[in-house]
Amino acid sequence: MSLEGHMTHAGMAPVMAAAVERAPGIYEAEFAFTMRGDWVLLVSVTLPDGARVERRIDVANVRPSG
Amino acid sequence: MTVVRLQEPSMIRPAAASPPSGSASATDLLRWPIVGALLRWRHVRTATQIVLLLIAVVVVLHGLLGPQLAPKNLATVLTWIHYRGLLIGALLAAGNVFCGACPMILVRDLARRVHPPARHWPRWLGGKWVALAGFAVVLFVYELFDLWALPAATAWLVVGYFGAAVLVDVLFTGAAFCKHVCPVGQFNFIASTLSPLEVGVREPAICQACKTVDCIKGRRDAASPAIVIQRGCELALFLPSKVGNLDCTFCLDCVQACPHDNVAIDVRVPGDELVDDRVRSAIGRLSRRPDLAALALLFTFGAVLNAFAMIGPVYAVEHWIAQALRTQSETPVLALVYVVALGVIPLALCVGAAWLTRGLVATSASVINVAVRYAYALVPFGVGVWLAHYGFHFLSGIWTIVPVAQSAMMDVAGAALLGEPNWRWLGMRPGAVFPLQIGAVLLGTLGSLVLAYRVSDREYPDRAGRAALPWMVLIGGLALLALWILAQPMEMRGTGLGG
Repeated sequence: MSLEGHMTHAGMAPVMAAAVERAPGIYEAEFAFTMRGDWVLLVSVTLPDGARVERRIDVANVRPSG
Repeated sequence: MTVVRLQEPSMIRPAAASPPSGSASATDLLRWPIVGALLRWRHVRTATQIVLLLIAVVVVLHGLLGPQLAPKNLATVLTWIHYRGLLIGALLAAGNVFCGACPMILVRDLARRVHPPARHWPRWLGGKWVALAGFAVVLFVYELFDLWALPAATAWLVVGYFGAAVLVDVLFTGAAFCKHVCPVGQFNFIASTLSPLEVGVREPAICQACKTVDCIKGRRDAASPAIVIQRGCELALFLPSKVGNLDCTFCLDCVQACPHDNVAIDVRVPGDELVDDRVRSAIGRLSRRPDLAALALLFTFGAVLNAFAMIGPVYAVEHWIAQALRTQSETPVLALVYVVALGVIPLALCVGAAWLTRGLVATSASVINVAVRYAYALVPFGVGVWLAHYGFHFLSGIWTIVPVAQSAMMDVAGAALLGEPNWRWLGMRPGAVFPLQIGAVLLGTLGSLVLAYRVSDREYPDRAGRAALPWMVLIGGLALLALWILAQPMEMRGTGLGG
């Protein structure tokens, strides 16, 4: 399982992260948004039978905490 | 062969209307080896148009059929990263070459074979007012719909643009779309005043003796006069009285049409034409063209607004307006921002500066007349801001085209024929681009300050410094605003009322 983070605007640096299984069905990945703005997370999963599943998660208006 | 209509005789102005801007010189690119031969090649325009047409086809197909994620789609990467960056770069490094290679004109020429235009562009729609409205609408729509983030919408924008160009030009003669409608064309025209190259005349005496004026009328088949073998300037720019780059699409039709081989592409001082108030062929005097002055203002303030829309404080402004209007809808909020930033503020600042200049030099000229004369001085600053903005995206994302193309090839061929995409191909670090952005804005500001003084020196030679003062303050204020915007953390986001 892997994560790709992209800005909604082309041309910006993506963030890649591999997820580690912590418990059955529970995965954890270290991921840092490197820029303010609207992001798209692409979650790619390789199933036991080799098939790949990809899900898109829109994360709007990322801002520094605090 | 393409059949086109003759230009109206009234469009042809006498050569003595104003002195030619060009002259024979060693800097004439058409005389250079290799480059000159290429530029004089009869099919150079068609060849470049075909290349851009193929790219446009790729943009449309991948935009509609490819992944709907902007950083992974050729439509959004090529259009919003590479095209815009290369466009402003080419304008400043050479000239209006993207208009010259415009693929829409190639499609239009084909459409005109089926449906030749029969009407002239309506006189009451003359000038740049329609194009000005279109330019403002494009800036607004880009922001409202977050076009940079939408591959399919970008593709439809390209399709719509082609459709509009063909529709206008199968109805109206000449280059009606380029001259009166095309928003990108107007951007190119006004930015090309800062270009180092200009199409002009080599030897003015040859033009004065010329009886055929093929450069504007074109050349016709002797046996069938209805057939034009080589068209002349479709934008009615008569070379002997052409001044500067405004309205010149760099199509080089005049180079092919001139039977005396008397056309040059010469090197000149960028921006110099903005203080040149001679009568220009098909344009007249800049000081009597409020529509062109308005275009200069829209171009300049549009640059600042377009950059401002990419930083955090725009949220605060939009929330404040939304609360004042008691709305949750983005459309009226953004519309108000655009009306104020592109209409009210530029008008108020220019009228204010003109009013002060008028008072300082005690001239009888109207405030609007003074404002029109000085508005062109803002263009170098505007170019600097556009360059800083588009240059940032281009330089920081220049290599993103590689993995996107690799990915597209995988989608099409089902195999990694161009290699596995490596999404870490980017470009310069944003921090490394920042000094270049500052340099672009400062250089543009310096150019605007110089032009404001030169306009003053032209209009009020004995009180030039005093007359220029309000405009220098205005330019300085805009420069500080632009530098502040560039210093803010950029936010790649939609302008929705989120947050």
